[in-house]
Amino acid sequence: MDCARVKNLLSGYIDQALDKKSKELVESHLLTCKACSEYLEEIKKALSEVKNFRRVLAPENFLEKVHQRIKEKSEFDKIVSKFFVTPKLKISIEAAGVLASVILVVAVFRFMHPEGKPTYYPQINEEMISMESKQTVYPNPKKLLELNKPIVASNYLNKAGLLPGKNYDSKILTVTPDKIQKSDNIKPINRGPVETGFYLGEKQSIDVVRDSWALDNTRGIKQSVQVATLGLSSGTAREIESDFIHSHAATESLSKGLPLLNQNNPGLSIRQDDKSLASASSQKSFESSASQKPEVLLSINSSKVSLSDCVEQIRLIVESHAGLIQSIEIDGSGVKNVVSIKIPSITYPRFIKELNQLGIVQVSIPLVKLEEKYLSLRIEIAVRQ
Amino acid sequence: MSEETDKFNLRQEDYSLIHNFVKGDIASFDKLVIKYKDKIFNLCFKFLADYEEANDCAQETFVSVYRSLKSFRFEAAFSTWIYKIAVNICRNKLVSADYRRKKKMIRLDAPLDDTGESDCVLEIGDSRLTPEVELEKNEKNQVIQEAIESLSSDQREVVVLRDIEMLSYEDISRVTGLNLGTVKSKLSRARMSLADKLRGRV
Repeated sequence: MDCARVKNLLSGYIDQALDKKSKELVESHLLTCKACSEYLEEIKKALSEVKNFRRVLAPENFLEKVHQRIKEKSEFDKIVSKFFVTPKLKISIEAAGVLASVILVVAVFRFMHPEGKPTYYPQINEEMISMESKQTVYPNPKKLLELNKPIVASNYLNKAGLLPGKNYDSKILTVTPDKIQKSDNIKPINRGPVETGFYLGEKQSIDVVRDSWALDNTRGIKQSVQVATLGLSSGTAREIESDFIHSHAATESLSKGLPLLNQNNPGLSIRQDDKSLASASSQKSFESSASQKPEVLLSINSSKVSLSDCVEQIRLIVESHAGLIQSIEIDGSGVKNVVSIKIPSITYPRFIKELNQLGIVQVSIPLVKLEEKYLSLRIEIAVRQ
Repeated sequence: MSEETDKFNLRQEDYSLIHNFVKGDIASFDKLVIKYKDKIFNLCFKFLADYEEANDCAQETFVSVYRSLKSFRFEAAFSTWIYKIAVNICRNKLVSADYRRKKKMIRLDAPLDDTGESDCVLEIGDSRLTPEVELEKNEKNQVIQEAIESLSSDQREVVVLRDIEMLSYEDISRVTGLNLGTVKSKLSRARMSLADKLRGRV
């Protein structure tokens, strides 16, 4: 008799849910097989433990909370419905006629005046770059050096006028932290906050988000996002710290923080922390990268994307960043293409981010100096075997 | 026989509450909440093994009930219907990014070198259980909790619905959307796994 088969039937046997034949089979087997009888007892014991396992009761304010949520939801629905109400426009035939003629006149006028024609292709010009630089917020490195004291979540609660254990309506508060915790394991040169916020959501908790970045000689850019969740009801808090060295968030912060930092620390170059670059040889290329044209290495999986498609996608990205394709070298064997491009330096982090999103298997990112307004890059695309 | 009668009476009681609610009596909804809150809360807690998340899902279940009670058809029991909603909400929670991140949280209790500031360190606690629940916590419960947590989420669903909530196979099938055969086989595997995990430990 097959014990494994009987074991599988034991669950149904316990529930008295077996048909007559299976039941007899199990019963006759149990009479002769000690191991299976013991196993049946073990299952029964386990189930009785599970059955009597402590029950957790809903908190006392449960009904109140449900009411609160229903109210919040219906208010939200009201707001949403306001946005989606179809406006009832009443336009008379005469008015429609006048409107149509106005549109026609404007169209003809634009057609006759070519300077009114919109520009479809972005072009690099000084103005565009300086405009973008103005929008970028740079942290002050000197100030950042002072920010080495621990962050105190309870202080933030006080600062925001919140008392632990009390209920608050959902709202978002933003305050700028003045202190940031020192971290030993990364030995930062400069470290600073980008943003801190409180979120008082339905869960009666406050999330203190501490987002900071650090720069060091050996590891490149490290961005830390720390979230402290303070359960108002229980008065406990916990904190997580995650490093986003490879994440988009890091490239995002690159675009915010780096140009100025680099200016103040001319000895430093910026790179993404990439294992392939961590070796000694790439460290060397890191040092000399300023004089050469930096190289982005892309490995593609040819079953997913072809070389020419990849080049085309890169062209689109470059153009969307107001950049130029300088040359495309096509290798006869069909395994490697090299695209030389020039993009405004300020767009580099976003450019890399978009390359990452192409779904290419591997992107190795070069160390570049973001001192010039334009950045020339050599992009080598190779088919991975 | 009396068990069947009880079931029938409970069902009728729910039906009349729902009828009244649909007619506009809000208090009937409150009665339903009070009647089912602990069941639903416990169910969510068993699925998610996290007090705050269970609270969130249980509340969400009743909000959902409130909003869809008008479309309730008096074919199945209300209890089956609300379990189904709760199971779906918990399933969504289990795959949500927030929940996964929470499960991966790292404790940061490394002491700071600035000794003067040590009182300012965030209090890092395990918010999975509230203090009241904490008191009940003992080693045996811990072992059982771990055994239940170690099951795959669908195995956990069937075993909780069958062996804790005492639902019939048919009701489990309705609640989980799994067919009867799958319910039986998952239950069997889940029970064997529990027996293996708890052997000699309880």
